[in-house]
Amino acid sequence: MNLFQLTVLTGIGLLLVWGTARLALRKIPRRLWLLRSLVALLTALAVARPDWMQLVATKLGIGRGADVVLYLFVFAFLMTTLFFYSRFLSMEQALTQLVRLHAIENAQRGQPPSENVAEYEPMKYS
Amino acid sequence: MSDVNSNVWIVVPAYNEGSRVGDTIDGLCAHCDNIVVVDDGSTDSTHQVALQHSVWLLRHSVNCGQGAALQTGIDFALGKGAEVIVTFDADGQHQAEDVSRLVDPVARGEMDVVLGSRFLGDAVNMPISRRIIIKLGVIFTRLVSRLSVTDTHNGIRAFSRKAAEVIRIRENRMAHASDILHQIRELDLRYGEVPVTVHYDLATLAKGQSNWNALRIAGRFMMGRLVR
Repeated sequence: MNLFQLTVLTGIGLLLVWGTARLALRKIPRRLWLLRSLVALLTALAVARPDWMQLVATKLGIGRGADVVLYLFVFAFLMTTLFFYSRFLSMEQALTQLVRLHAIENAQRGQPPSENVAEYEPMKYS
Repeated sequence: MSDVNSNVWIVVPAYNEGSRVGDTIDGLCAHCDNIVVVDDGSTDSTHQVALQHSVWLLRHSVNCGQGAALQTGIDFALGKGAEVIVTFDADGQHQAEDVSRLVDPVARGEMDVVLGSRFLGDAVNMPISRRIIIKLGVIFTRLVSRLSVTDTHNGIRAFSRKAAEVIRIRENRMAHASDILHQIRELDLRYGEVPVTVHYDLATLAKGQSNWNALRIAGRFMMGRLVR
């Protein structure tokens, strides 16, 4: 095992411990913990055993193990983008609803300017 | 003096239309007593001009988009007991005389939504590029929403109370027109088109949507559908 593998695997191990601790403290939902742990374990596997990735790539007819990782990365990027876009739309709707309620509560009734009425002028005495 | 039913409300979304919204309201006031102008966070005199007329004024504290402004106006009109709600652009492109033509089929209970069509009526001074873009929009609507219409993204339309209650405009910005058409189909509402006249001039074309923006609108509508 080289220095790069050692560093990355240590980092992933710490991330897994941190995630599990947060799960134990009920700070993250179980589904999110499972997803994160799965991604971390697959990453660890790809770093620790690159020959296995090569095996998967050959089975899939992709060619290189690095290409499998690249495709997975692109897929994850797209999914993340869609997730954040969805969150953005939800927040936009929430903000709009606030603005809407404020506008309706403060509705104003306009009035056309009154007709020009001759102003009262007090009679002047000489 | 109004020539349409007292339960008819007209919603006019306006953004920086201070120079034109006054004439638009003057035209509408001759036909309808219930007008609600939604100032969508304008930075000009739009709200001051509107307040000089017998209309209701709602002000968005920030600019949210025309779709959001329409929904605000529709919610307000529903709260006031509207039976028919008409949407009408503030920029003077539409003719107030067309309102009764839109309202009649809804008021008679024949339709839930009546859409104005400039291609059944008249599009005065419409540039050829805009005509092509809107026609492509019609094809897009027919393919995606499977709705047989002759016009799309025309701001003048009428809703029955029932339709206004069930349609929720989810697209805040210009994709709202596609969103409305899509929901008409999804909710299986009765719809029809009537001829209207739309006037184009340099000012409205300069402020309106660019032709390339049509692609962005279509993209945003499709993305919205994908992630919701």
